[in-house]
Amino acid sequence: MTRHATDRLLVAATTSVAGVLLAVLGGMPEAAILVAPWAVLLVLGLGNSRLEQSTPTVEVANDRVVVGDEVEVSISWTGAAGTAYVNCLPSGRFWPPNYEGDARRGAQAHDALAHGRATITCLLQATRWGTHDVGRVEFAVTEPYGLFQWKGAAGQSTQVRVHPKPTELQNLLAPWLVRRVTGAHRSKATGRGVEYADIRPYSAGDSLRDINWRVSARSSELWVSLRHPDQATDVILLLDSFVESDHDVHAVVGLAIEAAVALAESHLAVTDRVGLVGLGGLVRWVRPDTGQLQLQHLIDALLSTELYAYVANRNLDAILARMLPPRSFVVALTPLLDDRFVDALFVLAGHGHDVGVIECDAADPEDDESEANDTLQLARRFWEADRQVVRDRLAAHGVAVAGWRKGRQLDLTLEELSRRRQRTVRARRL
Amino acid sequence: MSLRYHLLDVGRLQAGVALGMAGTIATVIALTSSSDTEVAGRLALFGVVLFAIALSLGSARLVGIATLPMLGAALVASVAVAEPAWVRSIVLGIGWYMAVELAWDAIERRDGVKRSSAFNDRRIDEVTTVVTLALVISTAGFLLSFLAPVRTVLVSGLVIICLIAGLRLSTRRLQGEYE
Repeated sequence: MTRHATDRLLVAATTSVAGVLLAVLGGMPEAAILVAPWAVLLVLGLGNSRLEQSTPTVEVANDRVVVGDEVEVSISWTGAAGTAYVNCLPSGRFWPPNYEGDARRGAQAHDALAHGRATITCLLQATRWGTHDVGRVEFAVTEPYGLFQWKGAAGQSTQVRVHPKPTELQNLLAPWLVRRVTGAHRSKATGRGVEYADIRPYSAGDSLRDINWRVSARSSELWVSLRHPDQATDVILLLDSFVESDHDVHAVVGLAIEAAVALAESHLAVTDRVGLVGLGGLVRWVRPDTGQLQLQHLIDALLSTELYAYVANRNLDAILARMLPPRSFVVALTPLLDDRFVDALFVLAGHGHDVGVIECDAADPEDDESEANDTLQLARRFWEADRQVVRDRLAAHGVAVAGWRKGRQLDLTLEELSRRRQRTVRARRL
Repeated sequence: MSLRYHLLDVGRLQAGVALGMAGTIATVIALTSSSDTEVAGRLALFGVVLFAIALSLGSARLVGIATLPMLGAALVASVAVAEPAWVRSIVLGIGWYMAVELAWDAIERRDGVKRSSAFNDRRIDEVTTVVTLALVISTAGFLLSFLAPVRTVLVSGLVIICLIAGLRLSTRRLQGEYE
């Protein structure tokens, strides 16, 4: 901590000395009277001055919040006097660039240090998802009467995880492949379940509960109903975190993470096992599992997703072959901009996994339409055509793609993906 | 921003009051100074203009610097008078100090930083203490001047001794509050 003289000291000292000198040497008692408040301020300020101040401790009350919530940072002093000013400095990505909203003002506070102790609370409004460090604060303790100020910085690395806003999904993606565990997805196989599948003649060992009395009454023999059992599946969320230049990568990955959290929550709620593979410069992997703890693991892994510019042609085939459980349901969240990721999708489809793609596009469609430059519009159309070729190639390999833009309901995208998946399977059968 | 916002903005209100006080003090100095001391009025005008500019710029240091021409003007105005203008000096000195404190507080409020009520109470308490002590000591000096109501080093010396003694006593008493 360093000690600084304030403007108040400068003014008080100058006027007091000048006034007293004029009063004594010039025989003008009015000079002393005019500067009396400043002289009083000077004497009181110097009398209450301290040669050292204590360093504050910083504590963060809540380490997990949702976007829009407030993070409470408390700064406590003991053995100090005066008034304190604190300015909380979270890591650079806590707020969007050039963000100067009212929320930022909550990061600064003034308070008085009563009886040598005080706790000042700053409320930081979380506006961006991710894992942020919010433990560092700049502070200034102004001594009584404000002649001197102590300035310094304190704090330790305190991580706060800002979750994306939860999206409640009405629909679940139906996998083609299921595990032999009871769940919420209708299996193609027949067995114990709710949904009607077929009927067959009664055979020894069949349960009397399965007898279809209506059909049996119309014929001379007993018939039993067959049903589709509801089973669980392994859902693997495949996140694309390859960096592409000239795109708002944070927005694109933000969309993907928002969708991933929503999908993870809804599938874990129906006893599916959910895992995560983050493909990018750094390959991240969370084993599929069930339960709320798994949701925390997934969210932690998603929030710590970093974007790396990685140009090496890594052998993703081998990595994916080792990571994914056989015949799992892979939901890829990608802007479909990186060839390595697209190739990985072909590999997964080739290995027999059930793959669906949610194409995340952070671009605002209104911005594209309002583009006046013909050359750019033409380039945009070429680019769109190129992407359509990628989508068609994926569809030909049984991988359906549905687009998701910012502002669109994820449920609509999931419905669209389900429809396209059915068409893709029909086309493959033909 | 709505009109209501402007009316409720304490910082703007404080700045307005500070400017009003500075203007009043400058007017008092200009009007009460004799015709021989036109420089006092001009100095006071310079002081108040400097104060207004500093306030609009948000410069705390410049607000403090405006103290020198303003108090200088008050002093020049009183030099021409044969007898010391005690009451006027007390009122102008304390009035100017309060105007500067208000201006500093208004500048601090510009950032929109959250303030606790304890912080505001402490600030008011400090200013009140300074003003009260200055008033007591100045009045004591004024009363002592009746013993020798002429411009002499004796009177000035008495005032200074009174001032220092008063300050020492008050400092000893107040020191305990913060320990």
